[in-house]
Amino acid sequence: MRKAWVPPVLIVVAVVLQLTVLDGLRLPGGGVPDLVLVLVAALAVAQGPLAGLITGFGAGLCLDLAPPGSALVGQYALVFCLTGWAAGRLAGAGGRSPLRSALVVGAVVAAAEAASAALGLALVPAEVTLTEIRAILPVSIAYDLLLCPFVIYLVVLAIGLPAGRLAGTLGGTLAATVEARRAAERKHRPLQPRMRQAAVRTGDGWVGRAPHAHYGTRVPARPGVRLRAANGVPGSASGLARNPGHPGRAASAAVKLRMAAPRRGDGAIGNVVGIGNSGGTGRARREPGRHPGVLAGQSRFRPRGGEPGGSATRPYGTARAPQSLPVIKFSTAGPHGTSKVPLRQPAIRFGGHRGDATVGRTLGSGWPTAARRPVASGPRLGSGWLAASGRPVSSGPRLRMGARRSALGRSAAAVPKVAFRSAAPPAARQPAAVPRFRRKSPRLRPSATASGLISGGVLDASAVRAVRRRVGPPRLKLASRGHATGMLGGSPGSALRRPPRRVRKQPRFGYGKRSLLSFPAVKRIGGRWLARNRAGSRSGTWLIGKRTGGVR
Amino acid sequence: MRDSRRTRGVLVVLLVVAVGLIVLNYADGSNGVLRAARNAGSAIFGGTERAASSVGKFFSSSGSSTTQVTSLQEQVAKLRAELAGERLSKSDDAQLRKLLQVAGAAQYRVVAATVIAVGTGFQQTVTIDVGTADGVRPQETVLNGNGLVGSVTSVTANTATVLLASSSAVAVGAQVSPSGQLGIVTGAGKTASSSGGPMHLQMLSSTAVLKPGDQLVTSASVRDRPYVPGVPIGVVSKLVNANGALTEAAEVRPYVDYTALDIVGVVIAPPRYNPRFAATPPLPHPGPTVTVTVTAKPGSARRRSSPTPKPSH
Repeated sequence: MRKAWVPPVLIVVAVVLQLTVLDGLRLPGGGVPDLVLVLVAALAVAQGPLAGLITGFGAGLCLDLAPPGSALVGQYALVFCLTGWAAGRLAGAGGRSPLRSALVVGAVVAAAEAASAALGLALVPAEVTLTEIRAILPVSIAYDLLLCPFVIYLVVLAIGLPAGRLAGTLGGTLAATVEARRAAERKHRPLQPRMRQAAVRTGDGWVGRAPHAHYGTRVPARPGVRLRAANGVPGSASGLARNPGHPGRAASAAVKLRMAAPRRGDGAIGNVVGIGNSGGTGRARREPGRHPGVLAGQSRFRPRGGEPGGSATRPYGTARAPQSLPVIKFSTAGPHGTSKVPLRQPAIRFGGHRGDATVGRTLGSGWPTAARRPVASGPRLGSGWLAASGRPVSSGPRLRMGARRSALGRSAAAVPKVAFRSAAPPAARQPAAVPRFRRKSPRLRPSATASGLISGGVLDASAVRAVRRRVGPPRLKLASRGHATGMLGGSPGSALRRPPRRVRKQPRFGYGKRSLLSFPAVKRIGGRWLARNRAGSRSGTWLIGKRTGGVR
Repeated sequence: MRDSRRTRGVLVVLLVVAVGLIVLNYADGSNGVLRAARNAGSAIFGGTERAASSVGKFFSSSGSSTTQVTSLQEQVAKLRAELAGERLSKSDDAQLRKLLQVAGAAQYRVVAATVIAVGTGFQQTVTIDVGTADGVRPQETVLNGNGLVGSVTSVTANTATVLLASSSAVAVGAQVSPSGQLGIVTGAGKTASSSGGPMHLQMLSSTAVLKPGDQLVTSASVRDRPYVPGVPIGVVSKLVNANGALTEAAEVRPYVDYTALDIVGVVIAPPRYNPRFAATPPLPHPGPTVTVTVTAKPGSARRRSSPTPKPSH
């Protein structure tokens, strides 16, 4: 948007115009307007102190060197440099109303005219006398102020202004309106869970470990943590797939859930009977007191990427995660990888594709080849119900994830739905069926959130807030080196287990206490006082160094 | 705001550079670095200013008929060669004609030039469009058809900077027309009046006598620099009586309007002899003053407030 070549061109044109036309004018009062000075001030207000002072120095040097030139090379450079800096600085400090910005330009221009005259009086006393200054200076300032609105308008036309600054023009007003509307939206956004499809890009809205291998690249969505029927369990996809001819046998076992993961055992929640241990026992033994996700005798729980709420390692082998099961993600507003504080709290998404949210008996949902084949055997295959038998048990409502497309492709709802039904699975099967999250970290516990959602049965703001109060806000980890770059919740090794390392807050100022520059630049002109005023008197956050954006 | 540390750093650096340039000026005005810088500035901006000034002139003189410089004196021929093919506006023609008359009367060799830029701020400088390529050197006198303009202070290849005589930093040696007494004329600097203020004349000799209407020309300088002799400066307009002053002082109305300079000439060769008052404009001839006396008749007076008729002159 900003055009870098515009300010220099404006300056050069103004210098030539000033020397050839304006200075030769015979205006009443004897003075002439200083176009270059006004332009420098306006550009500085529009661009900030750094660009302002550089622009001012360049313009002053042009005025010094262009024939006829000044008596002392550098006197205009000095004055205009200070002018640009002061104008940019004051425009940043004083509000964003157009009137104030115009006043800043006017005041700075008047001060600069006076300073220029004083410098001339001090440096070349032979050429400038006090009588001349007394006669000419007020007139010149008046002409400058007359010129101000036109020059400001020109600058607004030439380089787009940031919203709100000098917003007397049409573009500025529009920008300010848009900004205000955005702010209002941000303010009144209600607290409620958002349920929509998972993000398209990998890592969007990840809370747990993000697949760093595809950080920032456009890759198809990676499967996240999924709840699905465990492998090998009767009634589950693989069980049927493996024993297509014996549906009855498959149906006799309990429904088990596990967190689907690319690797067997990754993030397993329910009993896992998979390929990995099928050679031994064939089925997992139930061991009381042991987490059902842990297989008998051998732990297949792989912390590396197997964390609930964040399991995603590379898919490998045949045991790929199904692509059609509910995905629980904690989404953020910004894309993955930015270390900014999210604008809103994480929302829970239920998303997925085909066969979404089929908790329980599914037919081949995890296996795409089988999923397209309607299999007649088995009770209510692919119905997506938690209960295998559908025996009516009067209990609390259950969460049903409406599938976008069921395993059999019967329903084709576009958006995942949440429905509550009074149906419940048999009591005997409940222990295995209820997903449990083995989680040590108190932070960002999806189970807590989920229970708050389910037990109340109402997805209202108060429930979410209550859960959030209990759980606390998610810890946000700043971007760090290594594989966990850009994590929002931290990697399994760090943030989920222990609180993230905090950036130590140390006030930093421009220069050290002993520095020579600290005397004029920090203590007197800018520094603490201006900084506090600018950031709002309550917060000292502006003073915190390391502009990471994380700690504010 | 966010990068205020960097901003401060850049600010300090640039301020140091600017102050360093100023100090360099003080230490040695003809420093090589500064000269190179000024030459660069002239090279960059000189052509632009010339073009802009010619564009402005085109707009200001559009509609007026154009003629060509024709017959003038011996040096006029050379000037005409320079100006041949150039189409000049009527006002330019008139200014040039007057300039050549003055130059011819005082036997100056003159290079004609146009003012292309005016110094900003409180400076009393202008830029003209001739330089070393035209034979202009520093410390040469600049005049126009009316009188003394100033002297050249610095020259580049195609531009020259002229310090105007109206600057309060300039003192010009002057000779009073009839008596030949010497004095010093000082400029008034910038004044509130749009046509420039009066200059100030301070006589050197206590026996010199001034009266309003005396014409002033430049006196001879050493090697004719920075002012060649005989260039008209102005007319004594008012005597300034300071108590206890040893010499007489006066206000001088300059011939030249320093705020409206256009065509000027640079004297590139001084006259062989002092032209003295040859180039001064002719004094306004005092014609007979007509005095009319009106006597009001009693009874027919319209003005009731003043019944007594007064003769008016």
